[in-house]
Amino acid sequence: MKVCIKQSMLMESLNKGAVAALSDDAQQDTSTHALLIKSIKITADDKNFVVESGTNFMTVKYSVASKEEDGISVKESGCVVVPAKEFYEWTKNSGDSNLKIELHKLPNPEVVNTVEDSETDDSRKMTIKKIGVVKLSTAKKEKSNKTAGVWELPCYNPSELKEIIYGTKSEKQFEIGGSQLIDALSNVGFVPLAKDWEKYMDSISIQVHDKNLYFAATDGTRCALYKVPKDEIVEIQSEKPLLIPKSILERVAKVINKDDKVSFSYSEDRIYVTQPHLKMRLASPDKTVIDKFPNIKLLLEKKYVDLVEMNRACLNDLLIYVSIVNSSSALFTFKKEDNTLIVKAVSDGGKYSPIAKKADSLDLSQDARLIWNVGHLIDGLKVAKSDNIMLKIPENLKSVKVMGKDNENLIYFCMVVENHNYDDV
Amino acid sequence: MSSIPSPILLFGDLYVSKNNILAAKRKYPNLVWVIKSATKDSLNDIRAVVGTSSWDDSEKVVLIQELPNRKNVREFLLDLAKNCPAKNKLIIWDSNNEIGVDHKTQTIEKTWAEFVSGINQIQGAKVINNGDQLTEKDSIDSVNIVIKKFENEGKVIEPRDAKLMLSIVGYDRGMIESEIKKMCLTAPDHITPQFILDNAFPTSKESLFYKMANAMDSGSYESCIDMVERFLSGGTNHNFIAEIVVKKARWQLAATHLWYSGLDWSNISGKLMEMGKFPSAIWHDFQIGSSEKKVQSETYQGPKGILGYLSENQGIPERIFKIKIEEEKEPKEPKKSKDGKTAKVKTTRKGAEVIPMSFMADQTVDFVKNRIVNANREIPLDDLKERVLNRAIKVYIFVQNKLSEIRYGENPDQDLQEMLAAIVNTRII
Repeated sequence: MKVCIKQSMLMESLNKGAVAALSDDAQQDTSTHALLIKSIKITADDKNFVVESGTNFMTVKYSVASKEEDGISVKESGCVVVPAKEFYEWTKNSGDSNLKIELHKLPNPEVVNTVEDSETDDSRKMTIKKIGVVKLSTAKKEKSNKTAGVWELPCYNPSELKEIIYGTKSEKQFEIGGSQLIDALSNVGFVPLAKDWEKYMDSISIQVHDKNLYFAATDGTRCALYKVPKDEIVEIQSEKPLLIPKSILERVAKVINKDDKVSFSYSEDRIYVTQPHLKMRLASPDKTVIDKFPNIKLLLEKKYVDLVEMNRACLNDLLIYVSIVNSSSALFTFKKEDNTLIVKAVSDGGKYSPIAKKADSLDLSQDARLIWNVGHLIDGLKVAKSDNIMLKIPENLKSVKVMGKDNENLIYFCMVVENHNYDDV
Repeated sequence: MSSIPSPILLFGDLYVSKNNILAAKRKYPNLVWVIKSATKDSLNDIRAVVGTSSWDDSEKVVLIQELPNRKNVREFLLDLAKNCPAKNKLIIWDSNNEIGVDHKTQTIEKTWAEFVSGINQIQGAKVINNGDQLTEKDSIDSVNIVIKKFENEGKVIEPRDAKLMLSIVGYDRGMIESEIKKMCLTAPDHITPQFILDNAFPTSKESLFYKMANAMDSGSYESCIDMVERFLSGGTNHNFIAEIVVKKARWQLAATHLWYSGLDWSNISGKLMEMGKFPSAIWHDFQIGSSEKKVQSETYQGPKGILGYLSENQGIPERIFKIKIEEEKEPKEPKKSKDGKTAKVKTTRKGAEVIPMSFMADQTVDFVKNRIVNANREIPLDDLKERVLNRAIKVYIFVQNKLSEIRYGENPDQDLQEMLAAIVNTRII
């Protein structure tokens, strides 16, 4: 393989196609296949320039047309498999220049690692072979500052990587705008746990309810729902819920083009995400785990009544103030008679004296005395874009529904806290 | 609603407690588990987590671990346990082993006693004490625990072998339990010492010795080398292993000498077990029975007894001893056990070499008898005795020299291999 490519073009290809190999999952892999998992596959011919990488959780394929006018000139077709991190660093540090990637094959491949292929019955040996070196050179052609650099990286045998077929038999679920996916993630991404051994509270569920598409996340005691605006949905073909680990969905959001539509398909425990030039395959938990994520119908069909509409800054001010003493729970006393809200926090362990702050001139619909999680409410206010926040409560007072006045896409539910420290307050 | 009790207080052995939690997770797969640290997480946060129900009505278990030894935390946890919402379950696990149990009285130490009894008084509460680490002092209890645990798995083990098991695995309750569970997957109905030696994971200091000695008695050079490589890769130094080989050679020499001196094979093992006991002239007197030896030697224990024996019986003048005998406390009456029998007087001198377990003496005798003597029966007995003793002496001197070389030499691997080759070599010249 022999390719000349603009640094910016290669950088863009790597930012998308190498995302799996550059992830922590891949870079910290210590399995016998680690060398290949940490590598990217670059294939170039007169039609396309393709960068691919993959881990057990995610595989990515990014392809662009090989056009000289776009800065890609394929002198000789071929394929290389090179260590991703080193190749990425070299590209990044090469500055705005033209890069030359050239494969020099070894007369005899060298075995760099021998591993047992445990999946085969006969335990045949699988070897990782170095088939050559990839010579890398840079040429900067600025008038006053001409520089040139050379380096080389090992090239492993591309045939040792399994060919990924991107969802030919998969069932299309839905298609939305790329920016909507990014928005959805930024709206609900603050809720999931960093790690959940049951695998659903560190993930984002995508569910369909009443012909609307929702992204949902929960940590068990709160739930954030993001309703994708109808005009941004190209189509919903299936109501099957999907569950994607937040960390993987973040990587997807990082590589997609926000101006293009993004399509989600599902097949045999795998989710396929496609955009023009970009194909991804994500691991999906099995059905039992997907079903563990509660149906959002439970929340959406529950009747909530308006409690108060408040200025976001004012509510935030109250919450931040009392969080000095207790960021996990505070007593919210709504008095309709004088239209005031008093937020009071007491602390466990006798460290602090109780703290309280009052807001008045509110338009309350009823009296209420509720203990809510201050930290959870602060989190919700951070993503609610509206100036005015609506707080709604159900008949049993067990939760609170937080919504932006002009933004009905984000619906945030928090459960009340039972804390007997507030009994006598 | 699940039938899991709440609150639960778990303390004692960490492994067993962890197993309790895993068992609960398996038994109640639909519960949502939230883990909090009473050391790292704020009390406010813990209170909020315990006080918040899941929005989908699923039941939640809050596991609070890493309890610090602080009064305010104890008070907080007690209050939390009393006021835990019915929907949520609370498990408090003393994963730092802060709750101590007084060994003598078997009661909870004063600091935590009030807390534990407070939890106990809550309706529906369950306090699980998984016991402390066993100690060698409780050796009879420990042996009984091992026997009981094997019994629970449907296996039989003799007390002597249970003791061997403890010597190899150590006295950690969790470790014993996990080892027994693992071993019972493949164990015969009646557990043999060989099975223990082959399968018990060595964690105690002595276990390395038992395992090495066992490999040498097998007479297989390959097994010995394999064992040595395992120990060396685990961080054991060459010198330590070499000392085991020398000790084993010394026992072989002792066994050979006893046979050479005319002792019957069946008595040699018992005789070897008397090694290291003072005074040797009594213990090695063939004319006296073993119970009489015990009675006679009891007079000569302790510094005064030793001095008395050496000066009076052996004729060594007292003046040559430079031992300073400090004021001795009035000798206590020997303790009597519950059944009225007098407790044993220790006749082994501190630092004297003894064979720790009788099966090891048996194995040494078997090695000399079956692998060396019986393999050369065609040689006339008198000649054979000379040659077998000659072999034992040569092997002992050789391994002793090699031990010095390992201490000061440059190729300990090679020296160790040669030592092992010598000790398992059964040829006689």
